[in-house]
Amino acid sequence: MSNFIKPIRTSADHAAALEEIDRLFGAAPGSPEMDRLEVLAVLVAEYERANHTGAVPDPVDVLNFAMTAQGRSQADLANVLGSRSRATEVLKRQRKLSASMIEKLSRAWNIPAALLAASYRVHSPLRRIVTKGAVALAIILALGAGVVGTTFFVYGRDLPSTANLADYHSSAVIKMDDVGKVVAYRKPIALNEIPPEIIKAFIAAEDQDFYNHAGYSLTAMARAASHNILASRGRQGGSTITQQLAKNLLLSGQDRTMSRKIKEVILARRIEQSLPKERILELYLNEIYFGGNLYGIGTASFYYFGKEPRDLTVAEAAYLAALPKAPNVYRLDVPENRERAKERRDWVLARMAADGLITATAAHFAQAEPLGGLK
Amino acid sequence: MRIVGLKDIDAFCARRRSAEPDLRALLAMMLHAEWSNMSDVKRQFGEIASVAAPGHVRLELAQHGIAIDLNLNFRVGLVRLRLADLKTGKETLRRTR
Repeated sequence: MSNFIKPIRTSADHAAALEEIDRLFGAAPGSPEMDRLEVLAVLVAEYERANHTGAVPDPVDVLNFAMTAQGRSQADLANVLGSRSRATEVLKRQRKLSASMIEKLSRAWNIPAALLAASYRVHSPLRRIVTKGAVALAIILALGAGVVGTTFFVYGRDLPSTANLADYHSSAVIKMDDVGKVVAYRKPIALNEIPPEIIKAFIAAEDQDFYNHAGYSLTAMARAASHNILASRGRQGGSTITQQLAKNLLLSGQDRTMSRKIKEVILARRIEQSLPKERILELYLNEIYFGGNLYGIGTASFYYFGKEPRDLTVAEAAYLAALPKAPNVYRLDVPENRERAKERRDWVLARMAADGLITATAAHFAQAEPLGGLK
Repeated sequence: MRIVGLKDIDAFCARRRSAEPDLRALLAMMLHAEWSNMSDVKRQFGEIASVAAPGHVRLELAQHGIAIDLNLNFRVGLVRLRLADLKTGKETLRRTR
């Protein structure tokens, strides 16, 4: 053994020094070998410290390891920290170790205070809630999308085609009696013969978002659903003009069920994809039911007011727009309907003013007009 | 205490990341320790420490399948550390995967 101690610069130097440390480990106290061991230990430890990849350990990791190494339980930790909840929160990184906790742990469990005082991140409750909420929302949205997609696929398979609606012409004769006499008829009217007031009135009464939606309105359906759940009387449908057209033209005769509602939505979307809004309005106004044996705006205008649609006043247009909601409740040929028919007409006028379709003054004057009709 | 023989621990941590927090905590606690006899070691690591021979302690980290053999020289304040496979008991890092 040489007395000269080489500095440790390479892994070979390190390995040789470690071997020598192993040989000298049992050296007698006060002997030159012991002195040599001490110097080698300093050099090797310094070399390893410089080449050691370890980071400062996380205080919670230190605490967990100390618990394992000393056979301590979470209840023991609770005893030291003063409460079970504190112990749980510390171990779950929801609470930082306070100075007093560090001091207690250091004294009671012989854990170096410096290790417990190192900086570390805790998970804030708010962040945890936000994360869980985001995950739950993502799951709900994914499930919702799956359910909606499946529903549309299943119900959309065997629906009538909307391809022929572009060239569709409303028929004049709707119903004949047993001897062949026409008892229900329609007077088809082109859209350019229908004045803007009528269109505005129907849009205000039936579908204020008509020009913006893609066939259905989730807001309107949600509003109708909540009304139907909360209100004991007067069911709402939440159907857009396009949905009503789909129902009247393509789903007539089907009962009012959830399945029909879904089909309405699917067909309404397809109609919107294949027809311009103006054509949808034209079809709707010619197909809509106005009570009794009356179908279409032309027939209703003539029956109730003895006029062509282009000659209707704003008040009369508003009355006709009031009808589709409950045609046989508001029809003017039943005298006891007149009071509630006027209420409904005035509501349509107020709605038109609120939506900016007519001025408030025009609505006010129109509301002052009697219902008239049946001339 | 002054520790030598960290190279094996570094290599093991690089291969078995799940063991790293415990091993880093163990090393940090040893570095801060001021042991003067075996009782001090037992007091700090009593549940996992067993005295194999005078000046020789084995720390068993069963959850990681390894043991760490410590040769202790209290006079110099030195810990010579070796990693051992818990199953074979041999000092063999390559078999601990």
